[in-house]
Amino acid sequence: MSRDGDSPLRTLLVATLVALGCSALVATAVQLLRPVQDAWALLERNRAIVAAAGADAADMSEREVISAYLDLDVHLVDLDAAAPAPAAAVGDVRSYDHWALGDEADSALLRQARAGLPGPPPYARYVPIYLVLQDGRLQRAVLPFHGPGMWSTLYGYLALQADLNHVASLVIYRHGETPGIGDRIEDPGWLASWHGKRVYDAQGQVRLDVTRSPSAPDYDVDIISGASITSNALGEAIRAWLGPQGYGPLLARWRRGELATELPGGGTES
Amino acid sequence: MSRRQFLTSPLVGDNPITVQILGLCSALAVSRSLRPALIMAVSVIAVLVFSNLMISLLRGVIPRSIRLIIEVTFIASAVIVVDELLKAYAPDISQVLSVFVGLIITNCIVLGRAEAFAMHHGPMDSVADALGNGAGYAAVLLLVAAFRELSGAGALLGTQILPLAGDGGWYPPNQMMLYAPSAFFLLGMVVWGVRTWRPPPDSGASGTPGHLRYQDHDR
Repeated sequence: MSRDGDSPLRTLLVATLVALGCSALVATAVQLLRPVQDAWALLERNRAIVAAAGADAADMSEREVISAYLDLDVHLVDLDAAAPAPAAAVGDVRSYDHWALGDEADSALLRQARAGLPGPPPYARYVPIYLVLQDGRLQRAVLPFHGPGMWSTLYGYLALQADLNHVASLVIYRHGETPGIGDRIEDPGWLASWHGKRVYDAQGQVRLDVTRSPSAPDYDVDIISGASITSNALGEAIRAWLGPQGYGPLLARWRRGELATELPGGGTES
Repeated sequence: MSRRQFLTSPLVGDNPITVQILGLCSALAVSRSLRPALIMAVSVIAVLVFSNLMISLLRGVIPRSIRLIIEVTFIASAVIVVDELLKAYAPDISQVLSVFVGLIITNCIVLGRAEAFAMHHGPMDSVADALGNGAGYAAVLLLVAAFRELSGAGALLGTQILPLAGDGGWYPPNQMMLYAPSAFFLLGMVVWGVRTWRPPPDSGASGTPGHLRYQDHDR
């Protein structure tokens, strides 16, 4: 630790080498651990799907989650065509993640939301949906959705009952809202209040809504006071995804029985 | 001091928490139950050993003018690696610990040992010092966490020990123990107890706490 150690050139050299060494260490660790972290993320996504499908997923082991997930009937749907799409369009549909476009898609979504454009953005044309079947008969249809919250993008799964017009369950998969405030959209009691709500009226318009003053108990979900912006945003995202830009046309055809050869169930209204 | 003393003296006599009053922030935050506290303790020990070892090895090369920055660079790198490891292999605990893993960077025990010890001692002594201080931190953290989990939830490591009154047992859990302020009381009592049992060497006869030179550094 002599005075010589403090010459500017040596200081610069030591600083550079330490910075390079440390960044190499961090980068290596992140690269090596990424696959393991991704596997956990996929497991958590599948846990959310299984929960929306009606299982008590919070306490399930990894094996149980995977096996329950594999029991689901996965279909790829084309939102533009309002019809099922060939699974080959995206490779393996079971691991296909239409959200995997990541930050770029997130910011595209937020831009679109700020500009006031309705509906889900165009990048999510192909979406996987998950069907619960019992003896070949449709029990539930699990539909992924996302939308801008207060600070972050909200991701979740909405499950519809076999009539494709009533909510069976709602699961929030991922969000970055304020702990203790916005994250109350995850409150099991509030999520349970969605159960049995009707989505479309007789004209096929989306009537399901999160509202401050519920007046139509069939359709209205009470807003969370104290977390009104986030809970309202969640309602808007779900409405947009069920509307004409999202699953609306597909579900309408499905209910009318026009997709009977491609998807199980449907034909609940003629 | 011998290498053995570097290892053993921070356990009680020169404990970083009770005597030097360092590293309190995380000790308060992650002591709600035993499992996250255990992971936190292991993480801090790993970071301490890595930073002490690296800084001790390079102590002849590090220019004095930028030594703090270099120390923090090593500490921060180790913390990021530990954080990534937790995210990969203990994602549920990682969620509980959330920002407090990242905040190990600001834990004054780590920077304190790098600056006060590793800059002036050989690698083996520095590793012994890191292990000793890490264990001293862990001992207090685990003591507080075990007491909070047992009295607040009637459990240890998530296993129910005292049957809760709400589930047909006899133990009414002390909810206050699950909130952060209880960690203040408990830690205060631990500090008081340890200082009464083994007064720090330079504390006065009146019992006023010594080591004032460290106290302003605490976060």
